[in-house]
Amino acid sequence: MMADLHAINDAINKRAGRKLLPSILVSLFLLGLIFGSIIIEPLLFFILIWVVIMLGVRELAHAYRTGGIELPDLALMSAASVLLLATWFANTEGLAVSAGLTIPILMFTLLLISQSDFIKRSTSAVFITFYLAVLGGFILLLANHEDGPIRIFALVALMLVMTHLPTSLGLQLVNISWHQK
Amino acid sequence: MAPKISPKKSWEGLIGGALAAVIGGAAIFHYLFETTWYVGALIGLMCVVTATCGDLIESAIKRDLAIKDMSNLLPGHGGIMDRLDSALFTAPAVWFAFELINRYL
Repeated sequence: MMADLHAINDAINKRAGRKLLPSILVSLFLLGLIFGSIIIEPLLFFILIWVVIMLGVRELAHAYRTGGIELPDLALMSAASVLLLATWFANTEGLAVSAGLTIPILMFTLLLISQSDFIKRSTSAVFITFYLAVLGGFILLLANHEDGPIRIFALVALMLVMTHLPTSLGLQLVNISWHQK
Repeated sequence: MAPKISPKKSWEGLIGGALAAVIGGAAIFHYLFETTWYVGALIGLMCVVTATCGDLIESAIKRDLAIKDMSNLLPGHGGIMDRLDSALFTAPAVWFAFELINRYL
């Protein structure tokens, strides 16, 4: 019985390309953080999103570094922080105006740091800032509304049904075919 | 679906995701925001497109940089970016959908 369960678990892990149990536990922890923070105090949700975006910026900058593109973490994190703060406190206007001001300043900062590979470094930096802070700003726009918690619930629920429901159904099919073997 | 960028993504997965999102979107928006079911279904469908784009773009970045996961911060998931990719692309679409609902429905 246990051997069967292990075999099924191994088959699922192999099929999914990831370890399922830690993945589920981490998902539940993240869901707890998201809903706990937005229900208790929206500012906590902002802080959570800020931390997540900062970690994302560091991850992407590190990944770019492995690809030979040197980007300054501090400048990227500062730009992303300005964008997120402006979005939280001034909504769409804050997002638009801060993007218009922050991105040129970021590019000029990169030029001051070094002139070599400028196109490669500046487009990468702008991409990271846009990808994380501008797009991430829309999560804050959703949350920063009187229906914020329900809107965030809708976004998370949609993401969950889209990604996990088909996977779970697919894994059930794997289980069935495994048992049939 | 995109063998060069993300070999494990399949059309079956996309169709399954689309069906789930249409049903889920219809239910979520009908019960929580009192819209008609087809508005929610359309939003669900739009989210499948944006989430898939986000997923593929993230995969393309990782393939370009020759890495499997962005980091190993989240056990079983990879990095923060491996979790955020679809949500980042979907959030603007959902926000836009709410704006349209507020203004026109």
